[in-house]
Amino acid sequence: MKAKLFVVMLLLIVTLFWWWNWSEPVPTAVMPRPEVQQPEKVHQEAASAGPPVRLTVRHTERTELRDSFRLLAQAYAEELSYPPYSRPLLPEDEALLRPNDFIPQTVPLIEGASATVILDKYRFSYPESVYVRLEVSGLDVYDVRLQLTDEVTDKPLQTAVMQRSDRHWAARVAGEASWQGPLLVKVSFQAKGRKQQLQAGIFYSNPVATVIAVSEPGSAGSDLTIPVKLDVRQAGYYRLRANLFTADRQPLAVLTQTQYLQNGSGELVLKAHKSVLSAEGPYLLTTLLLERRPAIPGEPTLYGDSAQAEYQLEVHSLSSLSNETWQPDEQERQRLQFLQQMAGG
Amino acid sequence: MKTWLGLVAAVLLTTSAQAAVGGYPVILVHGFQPDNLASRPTGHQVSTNGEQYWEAFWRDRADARIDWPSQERIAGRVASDYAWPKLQQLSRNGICADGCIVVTHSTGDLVTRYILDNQALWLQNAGLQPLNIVATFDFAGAGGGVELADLAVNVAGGSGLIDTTLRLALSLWMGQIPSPANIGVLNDLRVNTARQLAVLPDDRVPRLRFVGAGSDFQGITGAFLPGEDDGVVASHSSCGASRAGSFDSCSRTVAFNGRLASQSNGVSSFMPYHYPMLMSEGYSHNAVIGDVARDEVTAANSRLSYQNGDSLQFATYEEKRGWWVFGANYMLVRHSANNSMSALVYQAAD
Repeated sequence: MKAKLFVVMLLLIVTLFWWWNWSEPVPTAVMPRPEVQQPEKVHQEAASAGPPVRLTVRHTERTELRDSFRLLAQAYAEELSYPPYSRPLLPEDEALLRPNDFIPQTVPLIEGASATVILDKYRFSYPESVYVRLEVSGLDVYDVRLQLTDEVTDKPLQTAVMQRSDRHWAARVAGEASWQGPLLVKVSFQAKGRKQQLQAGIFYSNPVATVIAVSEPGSAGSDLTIPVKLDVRQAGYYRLRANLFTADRQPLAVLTQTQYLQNGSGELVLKAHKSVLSAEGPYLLTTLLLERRPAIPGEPTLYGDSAQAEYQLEVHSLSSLSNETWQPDEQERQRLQFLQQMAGG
Repeated sequence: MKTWLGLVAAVLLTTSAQAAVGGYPVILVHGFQPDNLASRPTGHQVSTNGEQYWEAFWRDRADARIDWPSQERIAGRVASDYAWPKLQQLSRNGICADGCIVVTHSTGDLVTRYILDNQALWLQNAGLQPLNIVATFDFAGAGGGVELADLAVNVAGGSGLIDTTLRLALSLWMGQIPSPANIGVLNDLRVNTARQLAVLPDDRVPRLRFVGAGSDFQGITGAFLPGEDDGVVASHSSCGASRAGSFDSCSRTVAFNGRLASQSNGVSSFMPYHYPMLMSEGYSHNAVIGDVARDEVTAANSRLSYQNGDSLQFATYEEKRGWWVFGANYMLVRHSANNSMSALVYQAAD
């Protein structure tokens, strides 16, 4: 009986080990083949006698660094086939699709407990309120308080007592027009007779410009032009970034335009190159991010907002757009040349 | 007198050019120096620290450095008091006029991203020629933030209920627990804040990532970092992943140790113009800029995605299972056993 059990167990171990090694084979090769690809070493790690039997053959391929550069050069060359103002957007481009996500950080506490300060987003615009939650696991906490402070001056701006709901503590504080810049969200609580303070950073801005309308798209060469009307309250170098989606919300491109704008009414013209317009309109312009860039070092970045979260663009046909391919500028060609040079060719 | 000194400095800067990557001058941007939070260096001491930071390998292979003290903020005095004078000097001296390579380590990655986003506008506004940066080589880049910085900032606010091991990990990393008034660049390194700083520079400079997964702290700091890490920076940051998360590799097809196997927790999407190049299991955060071979190195970009979603990859050898039941296939970079990661990169470009 014991012998049978041993054999069954041995077979099970062998099967599991085989599965572990081979269940996820490397994808089949399709693209450029490195020059040196033959196995140069077969390393055998074998227990020559006695169970458990572990016989591992290590096949080692040697590659050259220039092979990596060759692949990189190809990827970069493909990037350069699109204009910098009109970059294709994929569902995996999470940072570009959701540029205002707040990423909660959990802090380990005593006795295996933990606590997390959570906000709905990173950047807030006046007059938005700020809703803060504290989630605690493994510890009974009490006297939970919220304080918002100016990150630069450490001046307290707002306080609130956080209320307990089912699974967390929460408070909402109203924003103020004078808040402009990074804020610290400080949450303090007590447990086991000790006090603890946690904090997270957010950005609160009183918008220095507002997107008030998006005009009907036009065409210029191979670009779909999208005029964006703004109300500018603080002159400066503005960069508008927005995501272009199909009507059924498939991402197409991230569009960017930078321009100096005077106080008052202004306009920035976003451009979508034909190469990123894989589907006919109508389109949606969404996720607008308006920055007033620092004109000199040390100046803070300020932000604008948008009257609407998204704008529908009626585009009846792309036939008026020419089929010219985008040509990278001299510096971009030099960068590509460098990568190709590193690739040995 | 000032003019004369400026000319001498310019000549020294120009004639000290002694090495290049691919024929281009090299500019170094160092990372976070924890002891700065307490010592608060200024002036010449910042420069001395910067020189020491790179002395293991890159110092004598570079043409200029942008040195900055860690008690300051990136968009604040790091930019205005430390980066800006050097950017003007580089522009006036023409070091980057025909192109230059920026080599960064750790937080230098984030500092450089902010510089890439703004240098052209700042220099043009000052009537100077923007720098022509051809590429950056980012070793252990912290551009996606550092979870330990978030934790350090929290512990600085009081450690009444903080986990003891976490305090130990932070002490190992920083040599001290910072005070609330002395956090400096740690604020910029918090994951949220870092990932909001200059997310998509207009200049399309390729950012090449060189990543380790070793540790100088016996894995104690790694317990507080998601996925694989180099003892300080998690792989989502050093690989240049488009989102913070727990990743076991910079690649979907090769592990940090070079083993060719599907990496279900590998990074699949990267920040714009960020490209993983080399990975190694044996290199810690600081070892990647050293001159000692710690482990063999694998190519992290055996598979890349085109921006249109198509993929391209190395041809791997034909899979031969033969009769061998147990087997593992590895891809390693030639000569990596005898050369440090930095030396490997430098020699490839020589």
